[in-house]
Amino acid sequence: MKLIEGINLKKIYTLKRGLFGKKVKINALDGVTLSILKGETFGLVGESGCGKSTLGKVLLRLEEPSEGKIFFENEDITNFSPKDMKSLRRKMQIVFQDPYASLNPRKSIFEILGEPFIIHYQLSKREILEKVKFLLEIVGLPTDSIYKYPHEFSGGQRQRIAIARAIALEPSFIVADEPLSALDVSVQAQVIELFLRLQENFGLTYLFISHDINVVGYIAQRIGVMYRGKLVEVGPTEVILKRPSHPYTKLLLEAVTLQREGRGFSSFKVLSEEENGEIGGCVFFSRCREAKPVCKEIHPELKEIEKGHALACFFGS
Amino acid sequence: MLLDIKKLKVNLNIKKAKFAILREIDIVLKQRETLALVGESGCGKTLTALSILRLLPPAIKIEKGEIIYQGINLLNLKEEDMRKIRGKEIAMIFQEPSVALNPVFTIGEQIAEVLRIHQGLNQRETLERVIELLKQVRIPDPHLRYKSYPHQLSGGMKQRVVIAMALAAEPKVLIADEPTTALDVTVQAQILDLLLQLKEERELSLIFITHNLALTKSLADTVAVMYFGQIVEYGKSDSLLKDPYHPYTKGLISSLPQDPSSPLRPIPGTLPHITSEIKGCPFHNRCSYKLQKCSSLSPPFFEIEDRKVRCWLYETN
Repeated sequence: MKLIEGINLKKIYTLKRGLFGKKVKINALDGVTLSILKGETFGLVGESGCGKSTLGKVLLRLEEPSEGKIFFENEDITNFSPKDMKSLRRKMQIVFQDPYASLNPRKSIFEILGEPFIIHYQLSKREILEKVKFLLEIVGLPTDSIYKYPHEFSGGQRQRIAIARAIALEPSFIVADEPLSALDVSVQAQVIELFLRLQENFGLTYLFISHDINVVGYIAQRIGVMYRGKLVEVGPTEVILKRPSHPYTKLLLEAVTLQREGRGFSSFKVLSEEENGEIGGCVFFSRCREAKPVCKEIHPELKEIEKGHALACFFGS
Repeated sequence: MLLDIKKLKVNLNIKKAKFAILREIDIVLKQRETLALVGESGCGKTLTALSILRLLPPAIKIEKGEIIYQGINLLNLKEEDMRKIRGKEIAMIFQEPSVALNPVFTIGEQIAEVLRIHQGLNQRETLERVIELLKQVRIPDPHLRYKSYPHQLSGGMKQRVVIAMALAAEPKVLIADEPTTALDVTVQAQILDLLLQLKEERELSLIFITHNLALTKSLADTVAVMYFGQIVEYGKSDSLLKDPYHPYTKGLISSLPQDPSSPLRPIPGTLPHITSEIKGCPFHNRCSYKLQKCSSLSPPFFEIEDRKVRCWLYETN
């Protein structure tokens, strides 16, 4: 069953170059359609600036889409009023990248984790205390840390607090926006375990956003690869990791494989500079090693090439 | 021997309390060698680097030890002599390129400043050198790019500029403190590749600081694993990665994402806080190989062939 669905989502930011400069339009999301099933983890992969965070925020309506529709539990929430959204927010939460920035340094853990209960349920202080202790236990923090402040915790512990806050209201859907990239590798492993355990215990659905395709492999059942505001490949995790079809997916996998095996990096070449502005053809054309003339002219649409595996490339196999 | 750190001990002084935050660091860096300092956030890797350059914040004092660079003990130098070492002999690049660059000056001006201070070139020569340096760090169109401001460049490009600045005064030793952590995986590979190439071209000696042991495989000759202000294992990188001795090093390796089909095995618990007092081996409460004496006696270094390891398990050897 579909839990959340985005249809043809677009997000256009208008930037001004300089004080009197021309307005420039940036397509952060360029017609993205995806649906996430109940209880699954959908991994969203891509480089900085490809629009993956924007997609997460648009699905939660933390950013308004310029075009397109969002369905949550088969209900069109695209035009929900702020009041309707407030009650819906209990069901959809987000964990941000940087736990040093996402926790208010002047609030104690009790205040940070208690706030959702005050806003949504008007619980008494004693009830909240119980709830907060329970949350700390779930995420594996000592319950005596309840009156401590964020600076007294390490990065990994802070991310646990941010996760506790996200699950406080027992949501069904969580967007995890690069929740690991500010953490040490050794701590990343601990936090991945926590995400997996919570999913098992509470039947959560995740949109797990990361720039590291390998890490996503540990947690996601399906992976979507984004490039410049478009999904270029979507498929089951094993398919994406074992036999990727899109040249960009191959490139991402190559980067992590080289790093993991320590074979040196010199064989790894990408064109690092990209021209801005309008592109008529494939978004990946300028960096693609397998590009043909047709790729410059026509944009390949995302099409299903086998069951559950969709690709936006003329030549991928 | 280019750089020889002997029994370095560094304290944090808060009011009247003293906390040992680096305890007996011994490191040797040979000409053209790459040494990796590896460990979790807060273990003292950056502090070791800052001690070498004598850039420690006022509350942190070097208590004991020697830092011998080409026969001179840097700790005995006057501040004005130390200034001639920084940048010109030993340079450092930092984790976050957007913080390391000044947002209100063009990148050309910022590189030129280094040249003015250390090499006293005239304006035209300076510009030529700036463009030459940008070319060396593989920035496309250097004769146009030198006029860019930091915000006009991507993260990877900014890190290239920071590297160009560090190399401007032609140092012999380069300290790279997590130079790729703030970057995407694909860009990480490019920057590491660049560092390797520059190291060869300029016959640099490199101290590479990272929390990711996987990166040391292709980069480092020697690895020093740090934990709680100590080096716990020290050896040749290929043998250390293949056959780690210390339980902490083993844990770091098993928490690396390898192949999603085999689960991650993170190290339980967290690094003790810098100001906590610990009896015995600082790792004993996270260690699954713990012996009785580990909780009371701190292990010295045991030497096994060319490996040094601070763990009681290797006492009999």
